[in-house]
Amino acid sequence: MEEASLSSWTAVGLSAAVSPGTACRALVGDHDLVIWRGRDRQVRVWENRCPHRGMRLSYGFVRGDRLTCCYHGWTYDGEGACTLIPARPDLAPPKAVRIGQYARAEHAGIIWAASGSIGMEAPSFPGDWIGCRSIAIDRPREEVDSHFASGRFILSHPDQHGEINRIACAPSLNGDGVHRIELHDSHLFEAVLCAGQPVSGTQTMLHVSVRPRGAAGKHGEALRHVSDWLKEVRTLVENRRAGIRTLGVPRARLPHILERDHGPG
Amino acid sequence: MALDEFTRSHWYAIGRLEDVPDGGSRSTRLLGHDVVAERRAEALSIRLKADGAPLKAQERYGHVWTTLHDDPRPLYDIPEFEEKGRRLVTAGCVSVRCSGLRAVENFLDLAHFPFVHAGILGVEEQATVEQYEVEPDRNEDELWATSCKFYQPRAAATAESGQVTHYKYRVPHPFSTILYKTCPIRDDAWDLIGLFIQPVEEDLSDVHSFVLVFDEDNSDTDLLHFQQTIFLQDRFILENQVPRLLPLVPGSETPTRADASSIAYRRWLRKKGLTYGALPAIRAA
Repeated sequence: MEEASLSSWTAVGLSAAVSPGTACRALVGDHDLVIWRGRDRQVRVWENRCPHRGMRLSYGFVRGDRLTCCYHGWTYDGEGACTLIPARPDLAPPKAVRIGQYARAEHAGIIWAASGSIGMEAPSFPGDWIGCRSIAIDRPREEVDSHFASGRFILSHPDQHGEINRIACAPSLNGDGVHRIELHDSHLFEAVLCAGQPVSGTQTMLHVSVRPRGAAGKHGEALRHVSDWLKEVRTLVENRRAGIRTLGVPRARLPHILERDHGPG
Repeated sequence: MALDEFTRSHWYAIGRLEDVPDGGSRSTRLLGHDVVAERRAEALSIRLKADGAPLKAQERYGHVWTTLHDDPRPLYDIPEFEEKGRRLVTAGCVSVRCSGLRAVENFLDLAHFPFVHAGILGVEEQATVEQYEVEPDRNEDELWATSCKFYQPRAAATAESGQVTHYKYRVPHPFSTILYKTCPIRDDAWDLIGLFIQPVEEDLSDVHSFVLVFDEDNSDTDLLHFQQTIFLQDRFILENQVPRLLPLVPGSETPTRADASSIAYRRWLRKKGLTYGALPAIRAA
């Protein structure tokens, strides 16, 4: 498999999935990450390990702008410095106790992380994006990437006259595992962004955002459309094509993803 | 990796007496070796599955014990098992995906009570761990932590209100530990709770636990449920510590003064040359 080193910016979750006051876990190969957001709405991506006794911090709890380990209540401020050791409140926590940090950014409704020493700026995507869905695909990321690069995915989309158009996705590659699909004549959306998180040698988490077109009232429809499409992306990549037919809806009516070689597109 | 001599020289509980009934057998695994215990005409025998080689066997403290060593050190005494009026409740075996050493260290720890066992063995408002004493016995065969005390809202199945519970901890074996805590109904006695850990692999443990108490009110089931509640809370922690093996390298984790027993336990293991289930300072080549 490719080396999951976090040496380039990697999507690790949807912004909306980590609401203020919560913590969660993300894996990028051997990197075990805790992602959390305090009341200040700042997202942080840290090593998922309390230096005291090795407990995963993703099981900890967020209070205000601090993260507390669930084992002994050791509490860390937004910079990763220990501020409280409840068993010994009389002692100033040693300055050396500090959680390892990853560089992090939020763009296009997606949380991005990279190893702390990265010199590159985080990927930036102009426009107003809405996080749509994260979907787990049981294939390594390079395999997901090659499906996108081959242009075999077809995303159907209604135009302003309600006609269903299908375009073969010829995504632009914005760096490792990031695919942007521009849709010029859809009345639902302008673009779809798919960013793959290499969870392990066998699994990818695909985080997807949408840049909708038109009134906010229509955004729900755009998100549902892409969400359905993603299930089919997964089916195709995992090679469980039989799953498409079990949906029980005429193919032509579906926002199908099809293989160009076999499909009507 | 090769099994160190200290680990190999001990006896290990591999099941309760009732797990190996007459005419029955129990297959299990100890220190990476498959073993079979069986009882025929009341006689207990234990052998290695691979080549049938017989292993030493004994029955004590409600459990069946064996060892891989030809000349093991004697199984430690627990004199309280001879005392009249105590009730023994064994909780059976719970598999935990961690080194048994991590489980012992967790058991010795007071500071996690208000967080892991909140509302039962501690409350966050009273999380301070007062200083306590830890020292090895004369021959350095055991560790004792004494004069431990902690406020507990519900210290035992018998407790109806909060109390400051006094504790002693004993580590008579690298993979066994016993705590002695204030008996809620008798001033002159300690209740015992202990773990006999069966290291299945370096990072996989079958934990056999027991309660040996003075208690006239609770059924065995009540006592068992109390212990299981506590232990399952601990298991969640143990299976989420990274790494699964206990780091013995000084500086690889960050103890404070509240962790005196952990510091002494790790030092004792290092001194004894234990490497099984540990991340030692220098792994034997």
